[in-house]
Amino acid sequence: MKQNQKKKVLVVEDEQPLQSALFEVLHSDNIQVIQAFNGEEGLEKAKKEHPDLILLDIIMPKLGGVKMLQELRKDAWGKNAQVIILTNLNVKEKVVEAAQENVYDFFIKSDWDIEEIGEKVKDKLFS
Amino acid sequence: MIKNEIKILIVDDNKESNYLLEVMLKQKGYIVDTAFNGLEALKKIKKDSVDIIISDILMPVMDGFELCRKCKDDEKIKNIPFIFYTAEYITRADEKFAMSLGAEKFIKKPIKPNDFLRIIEEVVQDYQGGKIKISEKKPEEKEFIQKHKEKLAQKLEEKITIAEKINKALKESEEKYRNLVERARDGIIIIRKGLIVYTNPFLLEKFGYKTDEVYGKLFALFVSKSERKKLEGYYKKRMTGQDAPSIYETKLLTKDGTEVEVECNVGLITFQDEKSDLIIIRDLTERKKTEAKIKEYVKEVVRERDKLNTIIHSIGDAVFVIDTEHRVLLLNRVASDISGYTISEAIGRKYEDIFKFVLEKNEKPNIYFVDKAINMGTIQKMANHTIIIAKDGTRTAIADSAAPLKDEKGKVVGCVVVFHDVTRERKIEQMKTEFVSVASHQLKTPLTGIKWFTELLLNGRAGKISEKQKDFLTQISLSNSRMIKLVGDLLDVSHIETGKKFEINKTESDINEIIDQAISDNQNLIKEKNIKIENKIKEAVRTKFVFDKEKIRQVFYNLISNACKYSKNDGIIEIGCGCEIEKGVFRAHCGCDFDSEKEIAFYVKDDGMGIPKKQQEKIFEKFFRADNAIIAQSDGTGLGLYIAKAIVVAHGGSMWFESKENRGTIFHFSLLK
Repeated sequence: MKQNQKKKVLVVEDEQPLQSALFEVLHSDNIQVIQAFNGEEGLEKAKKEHPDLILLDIIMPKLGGVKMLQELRKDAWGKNAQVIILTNLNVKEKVVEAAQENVYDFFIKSDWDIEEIGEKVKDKLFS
Repeated sequence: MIKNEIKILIVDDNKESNYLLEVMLKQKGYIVDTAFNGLEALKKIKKDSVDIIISDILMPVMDGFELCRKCKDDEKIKNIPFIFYTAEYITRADEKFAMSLGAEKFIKKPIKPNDFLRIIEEVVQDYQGGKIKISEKKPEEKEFIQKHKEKLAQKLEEKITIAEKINKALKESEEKYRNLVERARDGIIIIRKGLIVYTNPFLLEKFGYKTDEVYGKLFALFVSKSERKKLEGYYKKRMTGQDAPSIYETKLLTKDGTEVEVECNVGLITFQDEKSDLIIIRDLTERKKTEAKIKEYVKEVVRERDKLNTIIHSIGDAVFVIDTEHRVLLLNRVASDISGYTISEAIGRKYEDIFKFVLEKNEKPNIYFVDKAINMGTIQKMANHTIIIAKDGTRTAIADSAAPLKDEKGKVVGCVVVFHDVTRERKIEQMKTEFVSVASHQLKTPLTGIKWFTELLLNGRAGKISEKQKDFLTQISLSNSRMIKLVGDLLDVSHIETGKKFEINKTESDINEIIDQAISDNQNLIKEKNIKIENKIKEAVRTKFVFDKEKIRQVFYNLISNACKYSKNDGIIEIGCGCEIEKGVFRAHCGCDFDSEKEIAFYVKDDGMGIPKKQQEKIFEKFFRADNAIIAQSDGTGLGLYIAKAIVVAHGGSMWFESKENRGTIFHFSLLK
């Protein structure tokens, strides 16, 4: 089914402009972008929607990225969920430790062009 | 028998001896008469009746021998028993001669009183019993005179010899004492009944008098008026046998009336047969001066000590002083408070027992800086991140230094250690780091927004754009990239300075891979100036090493970026490894200690503007930019080399360079193999 083939990407990011930019490069006929503006909302939507990939910011209100990841790994579905960390905080080790081995990649946002991120996500979803 | 009927005549020129015998015999009940020479005795014998004669031999006017002969020659008195009692004529020949004159007994002095009295008793009994027989045989006159003269001459000679001996001894003794007195460096004065009868030359000279100005004068006249009463009191007490000080201080007057403080030591002596005061006088002027000086000096020392104490205790920092044996000589209250030991507990003990300086990371003792200050004689800084463990185990972060203490000859005699509690600074530092970290994140977020939307525009996501629009958007993008880089550098500096979050994660990686990345990241600059990059490492035998990929990439990026910025158009940048060519020069130049056995060196060489010589020393300081660099290129924060060096040092390597203005620069750095 066409609907079933469409991939889901959950973007957990508190910054509206960054959400918008990511939405711009990611949403397409075969990618559905789900937006969450804090960890709490992200965790809730992840458990409900079971996205194919989660793009996760670290510093966010209510629930931070590391905490959200820890909570997610406790969930039956969540413990194998695919995650790309997208942050400006250089705390790679800390995050990898919290996420165990299932973090696909770690991007420092300001180091990357938006199109490159889009490419990486598509690679992950369709390769 | 009735003793008191017996009358004994004692003949002796010595009063005491005469008296002694008189008392002794009277006690026994005899009647006693005395005479002091032979002639007097003879007159008494002839005038009154006498029962027994006891006579000395050596006497003036008429001696005992003469008396005996005269008695025995006189019919009337020849039956009176005659007893010689002598201390001088004691030889057998003397006794023989005496007995030949008709004496009854010859008693030699000394003799025990009882024995003497027993002999007298025997003679009395014989006399009363008529047993005394007078020898009729008497020496001839001529013989007597000759023998008598011989005896006298012999005795006289003996007496003279003895007298001479005594005189000589006396003379020597007197001379000895005179010398002592005359040469003494103390004043000596003899006073009899208040009058001066002798002074030694030293005293006269000292006080400026001549002999006749002093002798026979009242001693009181030479004593300061204020002191006369006191001395008079002492004198009276001494004369009446009361306790009076034999040593006292007083004031005497010199001839010109000056008062001189002296110490008198008084003793009672017999001088010219009379009791006198001998006073030894010592001038106290010098001693008083010295005492006053010492007093003043002590006062000064106390004042200085108080001043120093006040200063040391007022200092907000902890201060302590040790000697070269490391014993604590001094510490202030702050030092006492931080260490937990009281000042009295700490003084005299080894400082290592009181001030336990350890390194924060492993709590190993940190005494190196104190030892170095003492051994090198120069001020030494404490290592960073030193803590002190107090008596109760409290740990306090501290900082500061040790300075050698030198004596006037420049010899190190100890060390002053100054330190202060940096707990507050550390907290502030930590807050600063956290602030910078959060701030940089917060800055990066909007910058990322700008970056991404500029890219979206440039990529035509919002529709087709004109060439001019594209140019403007590119400028926004470049400016934004610089801003992001600057924020990143600031974050790195903050991490380097606090030592936190500046971790090296080493993995084995190919050096060429990261060099390629670094070149690619600088592509804009390289293209702009048409710079040719030659990477010699491509040909190297070994290209894989263990290092932090991300950080070493940053080092190459910063060095290549600098090389590009300060190169002319069409410049050549060479990247390579090895340090053969310039090794010696570089080592001497920057004090680096490259060890080719253990380390591998890389270099980035340009043929650009170079670094002015006078500014070369400062090149690794943060925010430093050379004058010519500022003129040539406005871009740059002065953080690139600072960060690059810190990364290399954190890898255990070092970084150094050589540069000539207008000729170019080579930056080297080493990594452990």
